[in-house]
Amino acid sequence: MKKNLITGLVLSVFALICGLLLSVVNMFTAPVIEARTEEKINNSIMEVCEVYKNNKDTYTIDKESIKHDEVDSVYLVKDENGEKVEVIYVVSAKGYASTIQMMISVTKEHKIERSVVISSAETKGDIKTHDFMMDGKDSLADFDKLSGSTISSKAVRKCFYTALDLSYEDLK
Amino acid sequence: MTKKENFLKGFIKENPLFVLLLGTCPALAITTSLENAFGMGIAFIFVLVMSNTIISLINSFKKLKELIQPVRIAVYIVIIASLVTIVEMIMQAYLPDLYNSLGVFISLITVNCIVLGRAEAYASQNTVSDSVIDGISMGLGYTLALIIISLIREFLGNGTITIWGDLQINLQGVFEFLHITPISFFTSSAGAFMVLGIVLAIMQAIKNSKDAKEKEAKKQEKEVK
Repeated sequence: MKKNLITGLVLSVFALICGLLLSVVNMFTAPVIEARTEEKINNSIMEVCEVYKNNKDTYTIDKESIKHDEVDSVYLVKDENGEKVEVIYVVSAKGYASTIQMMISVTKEHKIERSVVISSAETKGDIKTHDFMMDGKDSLADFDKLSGSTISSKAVRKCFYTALDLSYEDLK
Repeated sequence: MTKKENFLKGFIKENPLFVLLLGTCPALAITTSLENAFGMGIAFIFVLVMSNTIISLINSFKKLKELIQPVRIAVYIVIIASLVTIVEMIMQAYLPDLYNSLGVFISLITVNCIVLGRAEAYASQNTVSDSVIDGISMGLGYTLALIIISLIREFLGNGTITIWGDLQINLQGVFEFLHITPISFFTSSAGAFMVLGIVLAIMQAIKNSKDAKEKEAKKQEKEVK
């Protein structure tokens, strides 16, 4: 009995030392990882939102005011007077082999400005470079699916639908 | 076994992938480009050398060795898993592209049979310096095997060789010269199996011919006597 107790104690001591070591390393790497993710999101915002890219000094991005259950995050683009100009959604939907995450910007006229696939590990078809013909459209009528990747295309379509739907509520 | 022999054994004689056939799962999955093979190899060498060092150090204290005897596998796994997690965190922070392309296979180094196998079979019974040499040798041998497979697969499958990041050698001219397109079959997992099989067959053929020669030499020696 006593022997077992000592063995268990030794194992937990090892686990404790390893845990401490891991937390020390995590302390150093966590801020770097966070900064990198932030930078990636900022770059994607520049890519989908033309007005913000051109007026970086006067326009602001509001990151926290709106939260929806359907989307991962919402960024409101405001001009110098605080008027809402555009809304950018980060939406994810389940595709064929992975979860597709997209960033979609919607203008004040409820038209999609641009979209970019942030992450996907789909095995069939290249949805990252395919043009879904949605830029400047206000409905899904012209959605051009990627042939051969029906399920991935359905997920992308769902992302667009969610973004368009929510924009009526957010850009009031 | 001398130190030199110990160092050289991992490359061909006891190559973990080609001879011992350990760690085939990541070897088949990530060898789509040379860059991946390098990255995996570096991560693997770090984990193997560190785990060999720590485990042989623990086993060099007699009392501690007796204490952990009933739970030694658990202790080894705890140590290996934390080393792998450290590698994973550092890679995610400083080499995000590589981290994305290697994906889940970095965490799977934890259950790679080579690491645990070397810990149990070698490091726990040998001195620290021997274990370090063994770790480097086995790690380099594994990396070499990954590089060979990835070179064949990337060249035949894509017509390129990615050394690191944007540094890429374009060899598509070879395919244009032969009027064919790169054989994308080799980038799929089935192609990986085929490449591994062919390399294993070549290794075996070389070994067999060597053995035959040795046998013949021995026979002749006997006849002379």
